[in-house]
Amino acid sequence: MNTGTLIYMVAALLLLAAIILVRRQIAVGITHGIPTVFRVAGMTFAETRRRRILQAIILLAAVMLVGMLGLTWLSPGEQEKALVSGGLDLVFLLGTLVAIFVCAFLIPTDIDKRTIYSVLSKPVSRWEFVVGKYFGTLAVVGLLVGVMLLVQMIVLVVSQRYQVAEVLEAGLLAYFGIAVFTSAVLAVSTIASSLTTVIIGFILWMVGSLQSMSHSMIAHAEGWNRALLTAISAIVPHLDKYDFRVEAAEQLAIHAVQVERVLLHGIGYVAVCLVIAALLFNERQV
Amino acid sequence: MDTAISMQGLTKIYRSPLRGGKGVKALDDLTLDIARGETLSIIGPNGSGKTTTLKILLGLIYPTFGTAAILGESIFTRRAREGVGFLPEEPYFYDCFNGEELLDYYGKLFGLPGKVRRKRIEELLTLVGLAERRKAPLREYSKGMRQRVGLAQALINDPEVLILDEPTSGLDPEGAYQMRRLIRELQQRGKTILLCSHFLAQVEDLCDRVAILDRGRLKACGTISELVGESRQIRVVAASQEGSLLNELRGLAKSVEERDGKILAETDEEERLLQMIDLVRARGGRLLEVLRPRPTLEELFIQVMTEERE
Repeated sequence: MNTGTLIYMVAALLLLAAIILVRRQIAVGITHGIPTVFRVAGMTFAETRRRRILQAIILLAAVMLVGMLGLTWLSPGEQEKALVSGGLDLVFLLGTLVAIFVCAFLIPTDIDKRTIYSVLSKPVSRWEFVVGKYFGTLAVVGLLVGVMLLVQMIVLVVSQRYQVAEVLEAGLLAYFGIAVFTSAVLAVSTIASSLTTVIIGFILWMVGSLQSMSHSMIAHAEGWNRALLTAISAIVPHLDKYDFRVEAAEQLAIHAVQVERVLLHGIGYVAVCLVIAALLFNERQV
Repeated sequence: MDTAISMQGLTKIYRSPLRGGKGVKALDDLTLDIARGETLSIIGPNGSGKTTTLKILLGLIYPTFGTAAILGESIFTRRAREGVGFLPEEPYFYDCFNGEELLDYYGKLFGLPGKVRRKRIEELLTLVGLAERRKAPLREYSKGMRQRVGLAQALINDPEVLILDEPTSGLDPEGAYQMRRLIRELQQRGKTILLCSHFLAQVEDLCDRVAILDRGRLKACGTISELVGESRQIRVVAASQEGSLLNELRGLAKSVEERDGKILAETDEEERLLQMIDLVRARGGRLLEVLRPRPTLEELFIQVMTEERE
C-alpha cells in the first residue's frame, strides 16, 4: 500500500468518525440507511435509463464498436487490437461523459424542479439521498459500460483471436475509474448548478487524464506552484491509473499488486468524496 | 392540549456569505402549537415566512434559532417525518413515471411492505380519482391531476399530520372544489392539518384556527370568531316600494344604503332596531333579514396588515 492510498484511507476513517460524532442520527440511521440508499439508487437508475438521450448514447456506442470491424485496411490481428484499444477508449470516454451529465442533472435538477421536496420530506436522510444518487449513477454508467463490453466480447469471441479475460479485466478497471471520477463530480453537484457541475466535471476529466504528468511537473516546480500542483494532484482523481488499454490490446497480464493498489486508492478516494458530498449537502438549504 | 406540532421560538435568518451583514430575517421567534386533529392555516402576504415555516418543519432548511417537534419527535429526527405527509406548492414529480410507480417509490421510502403498498396505492388512487389514469405518465397529467397525485403521495404512509402548501393553487373551480372535498374528508378521519394558503375564503371554510404572519412575525392567532370578534352592529335588510322609507330610516339607523333594490340599515342599539322594524312594517315594506354582520377573514387580514404598515 503506498503513502497516497494510506492518506486517503486514514482521511476517510477520520471523516467518517467525525460525521458519526457530529450527526448522531446518521449513526442511528445506518440500519434504516442502507435499504433507503438502494431505494433512492433504484429510482435514480429507473429514472435515468428512461431518458431517450441515454438510450441513444448506448445505441451509438454499440454501433461504433461494431463499426470498428469495418477497419478492413488493417490486418486481422491489428483489427482486433484496434477494436480492444478503441473500444476501451470509448468505454472511458462515453462513461465519463455520461457520468458528468447524469451527475449534473440529478441533484441540481431535483433542487431546481423542487422534486427534492417530496423526497426529503420523507424519512430519508441527506446522506442516504446523496449516496443513493451515487449508486444510481453508477448503475446507469454500468449499463452503458456493460453493453459496450458485451459487444466487444461478442466480436472478440467470434474472431477467436483474443482471450477476452484481459479485455474484461481492463474494462472493469475502466468502470472502476469512472466510479472514482463520478464520486468527485457528484460531490461538486451537491453545491453547484448543473452548468457549473458540467464545467468542473470537464476540468476534472481533463486534468485527471493528464495526472500521469503530475509527478514530473511537481518535481520541476517550486514554491507556490509546487504546492498548487501537489494539491491538484491529491484532489483530482488519477484517471490514468485505471487505463489498461495497452495491457489489454497487447494481451499483457495486469499484475495483481497493481490492481490491488488501484482498488484501494479508488475506494479511499470514493469514501472521502462521498463523505464530503454528504457533509456539503447536509448543510445545504433546499 | 394534545399537541401534534409544536414550534418554539423558530427564527430563520438567511445570510449570504458574499454580502455579509445581518442577513434577512424570514421568520422571527415563531411560537405556535397545533393540537391533534386540528386544522390550522398560516396566512400572510408573500415573503411573510409561511413557506419558511413549512420547510423548517420538514427538515428542508434549518432554523437559525428555536426548536420544533412533530408528534413529540424533534424535527431533526427521521421519526418526526415518519408521521407526516407533505403536499408542496405546485408539486413537481419525476415525470417519466406513472402515478402508480411514483406512489410505489414513495411507499418504499417509508419502508412499507409490498402488500401494504399495493393496497394503499389502490385506495389512494381511488380516493383522489386517478384510478383510471394510474398507468399514464405524469408528464401527461393536468395541473389538477398533479395536485391530486401530490395529495395521494402525501397520504401514502397514512400520516397523522398533513402539511399542505397552497393545495388549490392554480386549480380551476372544479379542481379546487374537489381538493376542498378531499381535505374535509381527511379532517373527518381525524388528521391534523397545517395549511398554507392565499385563498382566504377557503381558509375560513376549512380551518379551525388561523395564524397570521407578516414579515416573519406572528401577528394574530385564534379561531375565526376570536379573530374577527362579535360585531355589535345589527343589520336590517328590507324591501319596499315606498320611496320615503329610506329617508325615514336615516333618522333611526347609524347607516343606511340601498343595494340591489334592497335597503340595508344598521344600528348598535336594540331600541332603535325595534323602531326600524316597526317602521318597515308600517310603510308596507317586507322585512327580509335581521342579522349581526361579521367581518370576513379577508377584511380582518387587510385590517391587520394595514395596522402593521401604519
